[in-house]
Amino acid sequence: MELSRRPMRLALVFACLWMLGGCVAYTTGTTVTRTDPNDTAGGDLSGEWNDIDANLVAEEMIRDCLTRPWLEDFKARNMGRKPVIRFHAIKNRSSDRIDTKFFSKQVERELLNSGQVEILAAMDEMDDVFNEQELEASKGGDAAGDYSEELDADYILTGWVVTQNETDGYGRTVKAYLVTMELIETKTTRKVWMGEKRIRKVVDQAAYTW
Amino acid sequence: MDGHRTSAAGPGRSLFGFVLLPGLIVLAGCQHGMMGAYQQIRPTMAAGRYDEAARFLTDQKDDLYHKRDRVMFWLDRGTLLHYAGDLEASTRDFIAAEKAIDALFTKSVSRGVAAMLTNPGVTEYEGEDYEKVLLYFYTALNAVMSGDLEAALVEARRAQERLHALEVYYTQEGGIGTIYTRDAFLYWLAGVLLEEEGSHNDALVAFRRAWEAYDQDYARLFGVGPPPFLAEDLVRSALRAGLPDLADEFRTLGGTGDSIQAFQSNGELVVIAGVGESPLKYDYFITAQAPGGYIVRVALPALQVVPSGIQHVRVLAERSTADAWLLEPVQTIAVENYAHRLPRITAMATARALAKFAAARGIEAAGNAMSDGDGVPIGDVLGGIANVVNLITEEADKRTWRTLPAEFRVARLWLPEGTHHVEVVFENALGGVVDRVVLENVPIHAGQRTFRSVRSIK
Repeated sequence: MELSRRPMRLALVFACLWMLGGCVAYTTGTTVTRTDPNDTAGGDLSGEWNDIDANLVAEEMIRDCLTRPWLEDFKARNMGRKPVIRFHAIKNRSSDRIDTKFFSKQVERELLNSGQVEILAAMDEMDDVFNEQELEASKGGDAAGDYSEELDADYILTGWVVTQNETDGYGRTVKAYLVTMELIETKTTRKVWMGEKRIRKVVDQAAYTW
Repeated sequence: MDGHRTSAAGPGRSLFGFVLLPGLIVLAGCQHGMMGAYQQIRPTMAAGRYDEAARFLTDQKDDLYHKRDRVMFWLDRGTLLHYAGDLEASTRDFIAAEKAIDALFTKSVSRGVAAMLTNPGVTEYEGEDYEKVLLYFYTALNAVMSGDLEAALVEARRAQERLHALEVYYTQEGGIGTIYTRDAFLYWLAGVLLEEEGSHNDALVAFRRAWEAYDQDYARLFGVGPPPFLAEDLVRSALRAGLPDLADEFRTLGGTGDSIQAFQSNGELVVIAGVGESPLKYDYFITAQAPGGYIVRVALPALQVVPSGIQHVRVLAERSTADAWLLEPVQTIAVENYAHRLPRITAMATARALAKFAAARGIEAAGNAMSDGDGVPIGDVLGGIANVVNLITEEADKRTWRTLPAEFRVARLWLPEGTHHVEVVFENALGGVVDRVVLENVPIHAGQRTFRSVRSIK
């Protein structure tokens, strides 16, 4: 008798687990929590490049850039004048869908807020400036096509992101980012600074869930 | 004793009768909805009205696709949106599919158990290996056609990473899961995109990988060797990378390097033609009688090649013409990889049939225990119902990316700077025109490439 009841009990347990699983699987709901922009709450969701990486890299690399000898050398040669830098957008040579505009703006902000350098509009922003000047020209304004006051860049800052990812086939992935930035003197094409920042993340994904 | 048995049997019977068995049938569902969906959009696709087909899928999504089929929905609609010219929306769908595929690496045990008691269609569809890779063809093409070369290269790199992850996965499990570990077509596409970016060394590496993959994998496994223009790509990229000795080596493959001259005064139009329809899956049933009068039925997915009348594709632009070469035999990859995996699929289907048989016998035994002495053959009835449920729910997993073409062909031709009227002609074996796609005002810039993507399912 006990033996014949066992399949029934198993079936009951199975059905209960099934329904429980269904409830868990289909529980939905959205909550939104505002955080400080510099807060790392929430952390990494997928392991891909995110705002935390962009903030971290921009801050550290520009701090490094501005503490190197090229800055003092330039000021010494130019009676204390601040160097003028044109920042070219960071290039994405990685396999992540990085919003390079967001990252580039973080870098630009760090440079500008340091107060130690002057920043020219990036090349892709120049179109807007030229369009505005053309508009002024059509109205006969003073700024009409007058580019004489446009500053020449002393340096060009450029950079790129590359990745080297590896997986073990069982759900573990190592994502390695290498961000490289270079400061090039425009007159001589000499590289006066090169910075690197590495980020390494280990992403573990469970092979099974209930 | 009887009372105890009755009280225990009561809820059990209701669970089986009213929850579990109908639940299994509902969960098992049927895959006719999505199969029917394709039949409904097919005439619209054949007429080239891809926007209409995409709208239909959007409107009917909830009726035609289960949540567990969302990867298939995004792949299907992303393709239609691509050919409709809505590149941004197409990319959104493919990225959604990619994220779901990644998440589905984590397998659901409960759904796995349910699949063993019903059919594999109750699991969440994560796509075939070639589907997981080819979605990047569309995201890369969407990006480059939108003028975002950098994003296109990101997609090409993601494709290589996906292939690498698949290769590692199958190597870990003994190398029996797939024969598709390199995608020659996507290597070639990456080479072309890298060359556009000016990364000639990287382009050369990509073209070499493409050659090796065509020469070693595609020719042997899928009957497709390197296209003639790949030798020229190798010579040109070697010269541009400053490696004349290597270029000389590649000249023996048929390249000349003349395309460097052609690039100086012309632009190159690259037309990628999606031809035909990827194979559909149908049920192949094996039925047998088991001891006790049970009928055991095993459903295996069988691939059916969808015949296409198209044998040649030509691209005409004013006085220039170019034949399109087969670069990605999607249909052959699907069929050959399926044949490679068939023993494993058969083993899984057999295990499922045995599990369902055992479950039916267990239900019968439980029923017999309940009906002990009261004269009602509950066990026989429940066992019979369970057997019928097993037969009804037995179904192979027939889900597939239905809107994917059977093959991709590529035509390349040099055109002078300016805008051009281009016709893509799809021909049958006798040279008769089966379909024709007209591309108006195609811009060509000297020293650059212009990409266009067309499709015919006739």
